[in-house]
Amino acid sequence: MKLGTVVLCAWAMTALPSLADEGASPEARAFLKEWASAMAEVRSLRVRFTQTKTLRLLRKPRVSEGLTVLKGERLHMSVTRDGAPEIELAVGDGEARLYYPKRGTVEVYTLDGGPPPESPFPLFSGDVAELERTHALTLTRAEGRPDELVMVPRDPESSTAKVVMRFREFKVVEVEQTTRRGDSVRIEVKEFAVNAAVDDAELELAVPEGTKVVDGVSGRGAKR
Amino acid sequence: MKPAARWLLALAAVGISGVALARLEIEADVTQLLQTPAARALQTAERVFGLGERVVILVEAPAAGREADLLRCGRALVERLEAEEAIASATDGLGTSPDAFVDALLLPYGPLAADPDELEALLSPAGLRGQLEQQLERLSLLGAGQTEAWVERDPLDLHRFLVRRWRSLAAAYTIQPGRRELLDREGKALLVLASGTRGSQEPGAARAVVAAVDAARAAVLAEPWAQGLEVRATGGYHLAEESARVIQRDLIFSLSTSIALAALLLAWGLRLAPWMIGGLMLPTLWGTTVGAGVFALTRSSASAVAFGCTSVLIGLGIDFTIHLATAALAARAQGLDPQAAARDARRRNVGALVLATLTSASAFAAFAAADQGFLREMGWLTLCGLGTCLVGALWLAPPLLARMLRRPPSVAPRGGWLDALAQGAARRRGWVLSLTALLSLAVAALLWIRPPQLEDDLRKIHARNSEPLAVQARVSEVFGGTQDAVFVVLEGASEAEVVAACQRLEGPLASWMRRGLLRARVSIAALIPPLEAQREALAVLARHPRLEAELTEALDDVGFARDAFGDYPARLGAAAEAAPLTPAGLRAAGLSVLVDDLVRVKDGRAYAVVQVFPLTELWAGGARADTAAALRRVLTEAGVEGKLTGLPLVSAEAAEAVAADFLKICALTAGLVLVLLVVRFRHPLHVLCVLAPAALSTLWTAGLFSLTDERLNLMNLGVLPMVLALGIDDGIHLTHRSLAGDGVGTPRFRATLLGVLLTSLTTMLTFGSLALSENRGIASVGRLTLCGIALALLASVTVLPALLALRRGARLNIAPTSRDSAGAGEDVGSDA
Repeated sequence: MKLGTVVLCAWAMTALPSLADEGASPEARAFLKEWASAMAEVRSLRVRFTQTKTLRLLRKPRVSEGLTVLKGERLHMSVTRDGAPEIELAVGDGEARLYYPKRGTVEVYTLDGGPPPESPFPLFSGDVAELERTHALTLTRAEGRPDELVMVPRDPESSTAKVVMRFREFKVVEVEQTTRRGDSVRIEVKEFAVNAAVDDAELELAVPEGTKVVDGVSGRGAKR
Repeated sequence: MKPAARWLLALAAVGISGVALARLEIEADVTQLLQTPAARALQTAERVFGLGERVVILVEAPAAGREADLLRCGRALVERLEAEEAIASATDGLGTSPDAFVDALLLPYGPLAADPDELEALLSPAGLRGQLEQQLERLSLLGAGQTEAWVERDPLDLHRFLVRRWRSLAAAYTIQPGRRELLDREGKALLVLASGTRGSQEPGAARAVVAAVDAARAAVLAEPWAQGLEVRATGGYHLAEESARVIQRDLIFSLSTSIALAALLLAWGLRLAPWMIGGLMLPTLWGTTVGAGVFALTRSSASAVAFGCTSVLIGLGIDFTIHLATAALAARAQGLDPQAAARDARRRNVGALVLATLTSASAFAAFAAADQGFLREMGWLTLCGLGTCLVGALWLAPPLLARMLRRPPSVAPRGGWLDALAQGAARRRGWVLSLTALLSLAVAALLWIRPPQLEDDLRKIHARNSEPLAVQARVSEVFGGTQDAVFVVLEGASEAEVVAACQRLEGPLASWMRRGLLRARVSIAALIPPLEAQREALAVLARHPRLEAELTEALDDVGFARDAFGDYPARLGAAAEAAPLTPAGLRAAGLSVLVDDLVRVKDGRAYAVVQVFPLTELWAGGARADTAAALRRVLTEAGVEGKLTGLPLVSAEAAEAVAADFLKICALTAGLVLVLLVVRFRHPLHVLCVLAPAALSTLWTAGLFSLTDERLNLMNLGVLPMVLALGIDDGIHLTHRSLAGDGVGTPRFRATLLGVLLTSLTTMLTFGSLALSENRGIASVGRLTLCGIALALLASVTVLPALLALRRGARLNIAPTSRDSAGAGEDVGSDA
């Protein structure tokens, strides 16, 4: 399993580089430049969301809620379902750790310097300059409605078929992702707080004594 | 014999020699020269698996962010290389990707790779449910993509058992995990591997492979997208090609410069016109060529290293002519006509020349006792050359000298200062001998404390600034630790037998890795669990006869859509019926590329190779010896009969074998020379006189080596007996002259001293040019002989006259030292 998807989603909230100089429609380019400018000074972020996954693997959609806290290069995400902790993710110090509270297990993945895995949210993968080359972009702006950016990967082998992002005042309020497998994900952003106070303790993965820590790829490990 | 007939016969001999030399095959691969157990095992590994015969191509980008170009470059190189006739195969990766590996084996073999207890826990109803619930929790992470694909592909995470094995196999290279391509972690370098259609030791093979790689590199780098990429190559072919090229160039340079310099030196020393010196060189060149031709007639191939001694032959061969020339000049200065002077010189020197040839020949004959083939070749080649050079000197030099000396010399030959030095040493013999004894004792003490060391690093006989070695070091730096693996080669009647042996080694090797003593091991046992463990896993599966139904129920219970998983439950249910995994099973699953590198049947025998990658480089003696000893212990404890090999081990064994040969040759040489000298001179003091220059130069040279940390290696050890022989020649000529009644201070002793000086200087020049060689082995030969001959000369003109003056009745003829009064002293015609 690749964690890149998860991690890169979280990196979505980092500052955006400049736009590509060619290809994008003038309106889309102006919008993205403005957004990049608005996000340029982000030092920390707190995002609360509700996610609805409709997967062909599952008999019914899976709804969960979560909170992502990001500060510098460290990130913590906790997801709950029906008020109960479901899974936690912590990224930092060259590692990504997944904690399954119900199993009492932590999986550790080493983040190597390899190429970033494909992200369902290409805008967030850190290279906006490439966005126009890799995606077909359509921007829709209408009074009283969120701005809507539709991104379709040009690579036919991409697992993502389409991503729709909706913004209000350059803050993401909703993301819809459709995959070529037929899965779809809807993320409603409930809170999008830029440069909010984030305590270092919020970024720590706190696990109870006796939690089993295993290597994420091989499954080898022991209780700690 | 009529002059015309003499020269026609000489020309015919040269022609025959040329034909014989043209058909001789030259071997340049040093690993082929050294027939040690490790070298033989390496040859087996090369023959069966192509190990050591690979081309390793390193593609580097100047900065990160060009991974796509690197990968494209790798693919383009592979495509071009595979189209080359000299290349058998090429790849830019491990043969298969981890995903393809998992896909090929997941079911039914995934469960067979698991620990039985772990499998039992997973397959219980609670275990199945727990695993599926964990997958659901994982699906709660933000977004959709590969996580969903993996859960669908393998909801029970059986691939983890296979990934563990894959990881342990891929650990030999520090590459980006999950990739098939050998791309480094920073995304700035890529490796491409290729193998040749013929072994690197086969004539022309290394050159053809290197040319093919160069052509592919040039074509790929000409592409616009490849701009800025750097492509370099290393491996057995490149080392062999470089060695052959550099040695050939070094020898051509050495031969041409040594001939020119020796000619100039002789012109200066003998006060002859340079064209005359050209004539004097003829007997030596003829002797060297015909000697090499005689050598070539007796064999079909020879090592390039053996031909390093052709410079030695010229150095030795010219000595005969020089001694004849100095004697003839002295006789001419005494008033003899040219023909008579030439005849007189031959008559007076033939005894010393034959004896000197015999002592040198005894040294080279002793090479026949060496175990190493290239040493035997070197001995035989020099023996042939010495014989023909002597024939050339006695047969061709006198008529040449007679023509050259037609005009009476206006001044006597040089050497007055040498004569004065020798006379001074003879007069102050007490001082000279005491000082010599003190110096020698000091050197002996130094050698006791710091004996000369043997060089056991084969890389140090390759070219200085060797490109393949530099690329090898860069590959190690980029892709982690040493890439010089120790190979454990196992042989058996069947694949099952050798695979079982590899599996018995797994425990101890895994323990080494846990303790941080090993970086990685690559073995078929990484892919195939022991039969017993597989049977236990199959027994676990058999204890769950309703596995398919239980998994389907669990999928339904936790909320998965069972249809999305296709036939996964059915294949898991049928896994209990699977046959244990074997090399044949892996090949049938499409993994031949992986398997055939590790286990293979060849000529009716099964072979396996386990590549062990230590944490540290093995070129240093201590680390290598420790690793080899520990691995031998592992083999013994595991009850496995395997042969250890790899270039570092071959290097160490080669150094030991050559050192043993060297000791044997030296002992034999000393014995043979002593017998010859005792037979000829009988008196102990006379024998001591003859031996003194050689013995002292050897001792002092060893002292200098110790002081300067110069190491003996398999090349310069081979020429050490030659240096001894040359020192003994000096002793023979001077002692012979003195015993003939021409003592220190006489014109003939002075002429002989000049001969010794000129022969030493010409030899030093020929070896001096070798010291400039780019090949470090050949250069060390030059340095050793330069040092040895210079010190033998010093001992000959100082210590030896002092020793000769000790003889009862020795007569010092204290002559005027003016260079123009060569006629002073005794009569020309007075024989002993």
